Amino acid sequence: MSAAGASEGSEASIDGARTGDPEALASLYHAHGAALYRLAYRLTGTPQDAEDVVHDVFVGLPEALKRYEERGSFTGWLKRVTARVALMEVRRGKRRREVALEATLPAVDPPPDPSSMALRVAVDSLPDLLRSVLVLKEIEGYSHAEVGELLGISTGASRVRLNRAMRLLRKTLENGR
Amino acid sequence: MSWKDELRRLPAPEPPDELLARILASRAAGVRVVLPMATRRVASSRIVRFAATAAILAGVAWLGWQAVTTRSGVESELPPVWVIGGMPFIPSTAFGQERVRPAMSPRYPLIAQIQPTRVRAGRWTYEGSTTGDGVFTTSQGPPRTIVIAAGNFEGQPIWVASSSPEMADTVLVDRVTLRPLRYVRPMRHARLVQQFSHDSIDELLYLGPRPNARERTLRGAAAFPDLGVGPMLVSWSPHSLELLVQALPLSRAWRGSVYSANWMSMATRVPTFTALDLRVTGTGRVTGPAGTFDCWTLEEREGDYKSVLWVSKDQGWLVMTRHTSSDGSGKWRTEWVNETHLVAVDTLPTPLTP
Repeated sequence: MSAAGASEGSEASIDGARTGDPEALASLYHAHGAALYRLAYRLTGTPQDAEDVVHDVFVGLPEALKRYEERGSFTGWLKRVTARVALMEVRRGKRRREVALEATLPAVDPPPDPSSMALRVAVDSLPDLLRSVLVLKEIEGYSHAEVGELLGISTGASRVRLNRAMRLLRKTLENGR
Repeated sequence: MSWKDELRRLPAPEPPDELLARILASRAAGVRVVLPMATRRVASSRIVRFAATAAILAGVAWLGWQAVTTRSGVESELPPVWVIGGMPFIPSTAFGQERVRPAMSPRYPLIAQIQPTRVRAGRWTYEGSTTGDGVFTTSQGPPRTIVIAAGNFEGQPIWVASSSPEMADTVLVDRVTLRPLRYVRPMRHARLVQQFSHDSIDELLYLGPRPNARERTLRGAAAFPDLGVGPMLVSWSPHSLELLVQALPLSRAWRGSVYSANWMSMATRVPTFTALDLRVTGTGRVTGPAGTFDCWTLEEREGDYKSVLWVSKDQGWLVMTRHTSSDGSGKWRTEWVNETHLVAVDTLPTPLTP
């Protein structure tokens, strides 16, 4: 276990989760579950899909940890795995467009202001390919090389898609005013 | 604050409280998920690919050399078995006899809570249509009517569910547990009978004589993957799900899985039991010839196959289904959308469920 990994994931929890220990898995969930859920939500666009993604990640984690090479940040590794599962979910279908609007908007307290809501709707209305790049680059802070690796595209393609996403977002927001 | 900062501050919901419990329950139930792992960087993957290609070429060259050198003396048309035996590219005969596909595990806890008294006897008629690329629509043929009637089987109160126009297949379902007891499907040159006991399923498939094939009877048996007490579906029965959804206690966060029994004689292509995963994704109102229904929308998933179901909130009737052929990968040239709509309902007097 590297020092970086140990500090983020607690060496004991990772070792325990690797053997399938429920308490260790619960400990990792408490440490990382909320952040992974937010990442999955931003990529998939619905709470239900985000829930499924996080469910799948933690259900598959004990077996995946056996192949985890313990290099670099454990949180970073976990986020990349979650992003991959979420992107697979996004590629799989368009059914999320059929989900009732009330079910897709996050329940937050206090309720978001109208401009924030407009931005949220504009981001959600982006095509999946563009939204993925926007979320990974601008919200999650990945580099274009990392975005390219996650999406299976070149660094240049990642830049182009981000550019298109920004233009489309600006246009949507301007039209909404 | 720039709008990029605003983007980073966009609110996102917190995970629901019960998610951890669901994860742990899934693990305890034996659910396993293979996660996509990080790939190597391009440079290193190129090296690996180059090394693998070189190794394969060297191996093929060596095999060719061995084949040539061993042919001195006795000429043989057979490949040099002593060389290739046990190599991963040349599987043994026994390897070919292994099952091709493993059974699929459920994604959610198996459905244990049902409301069997909600199931009604009656007739439900559906019409289907197929739309290609949102442009042209064709009918899926004559309407299909599902009949659910009360009956008795070996002294046990049951539901008898069958479908027309063929009325070809019939499934007998325990009225309390909604578990199938017997499934019969007559076909043109064949007949399938599945008998469900408390722990296993027995199958008999009779194949009648054909011009170029002799008469055959195939038998099979398989142990249930579950405890043998909850609901189960019959994959090839078109009306098994319609009966079950009437008894599901659906709510906003509801989800559950149920095993579906396939033909054992097709086990090389389809596992004997597959898991069908259902979850509520939202609500919607559907208006059609049978009326207007406030519905739950359910995602139905069986492996990679996904559909959306609309189930009426008050009666639990399956009002509409939609399956889209495209998976978003772009590999499909035409996107086909199959829909079925409830066009008529005729409920019958229903005896009390014991």
